Amino acid sequence: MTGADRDGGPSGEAAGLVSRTLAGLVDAFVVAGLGLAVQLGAGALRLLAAGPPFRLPDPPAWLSGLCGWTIALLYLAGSWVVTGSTVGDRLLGLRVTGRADGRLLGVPRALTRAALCLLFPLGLLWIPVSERRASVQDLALSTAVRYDRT
Amino acid sequence: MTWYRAVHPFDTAGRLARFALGTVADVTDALIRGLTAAVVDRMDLDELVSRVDVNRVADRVDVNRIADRVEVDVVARRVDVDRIAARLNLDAVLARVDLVVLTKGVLEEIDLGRIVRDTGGGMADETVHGLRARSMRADQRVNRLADRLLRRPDPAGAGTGAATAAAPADGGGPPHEQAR
Repeated sequence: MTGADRDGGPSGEAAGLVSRTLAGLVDAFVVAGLGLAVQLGAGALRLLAAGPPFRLPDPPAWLSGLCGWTIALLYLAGSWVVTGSTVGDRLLGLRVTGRADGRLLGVPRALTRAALCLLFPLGLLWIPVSERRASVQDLALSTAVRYDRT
Repeated sequence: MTWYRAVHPFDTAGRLARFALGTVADVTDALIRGLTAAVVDRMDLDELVSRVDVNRVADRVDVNRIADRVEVDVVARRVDVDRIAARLNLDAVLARVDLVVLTKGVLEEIDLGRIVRDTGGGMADETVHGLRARSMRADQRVNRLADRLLRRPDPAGAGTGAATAAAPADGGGPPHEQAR
């Protein structure tokens, strides 16, 4: 999966800090949108069950945080398992695979990587330091993020 | 007229000759009219016309020459277009036109939806390509900066071939050269 692509970049090369940070920001917006959708859905369910007026749910902070964290975890892990790319990754032309075999991640490794990314996003800052352009999460789980713009 | 001229033989003869000639002319005219009417009555004009080869006649007509002699501008000036237009019943014409079918046909022919899709898709595609190219260049800059700071040799083969290839364009040279 190497060679120049139509964007002028070499597919298969390890992605750098800027691309991955931008992809992460896009994914943050996506997760926010998903959270809003879940809230609207919960409000609609309550409207159906209890009748008007329509009100968004106002859960306690810990429950909101837990829901958001779960949505993000499932979104990231699901995207990496199914296609290897989240929405942000697709936009920036990136793909997450295993480092050695280049195959898509399995469910346990994807969930662990998503959890690590959520707990320690600053791990991205290790990318320029790493010779193989790996974040802390990549080093811990032997994964790689490569340009995929074919 | 004097009595002398009335009895003069030459004058008398002249008068008589003129009277005779006038009478003969009248009789001749009446005779010709009668004969012509009789001939025409007895002729079958339809049959006569059918025997005329109109194509041969038409072949001998020089239409171009006739057309050259026609002053089209003069004819056009004499045509009252407003008067003709006033006599047109446009409502009746429009009533006979199925505008819905016509509009549908035009839109199908133009395929406006495809144009919108192509244009929108093309713009989005270009935007994404531009974003990817810029982010990749930014990646390479960050990588080169880190390599210089860490005094790392050229990491070719370690997944940064693109960064190495782009280094001279940045004016700074490869990292291993910088380290020397």
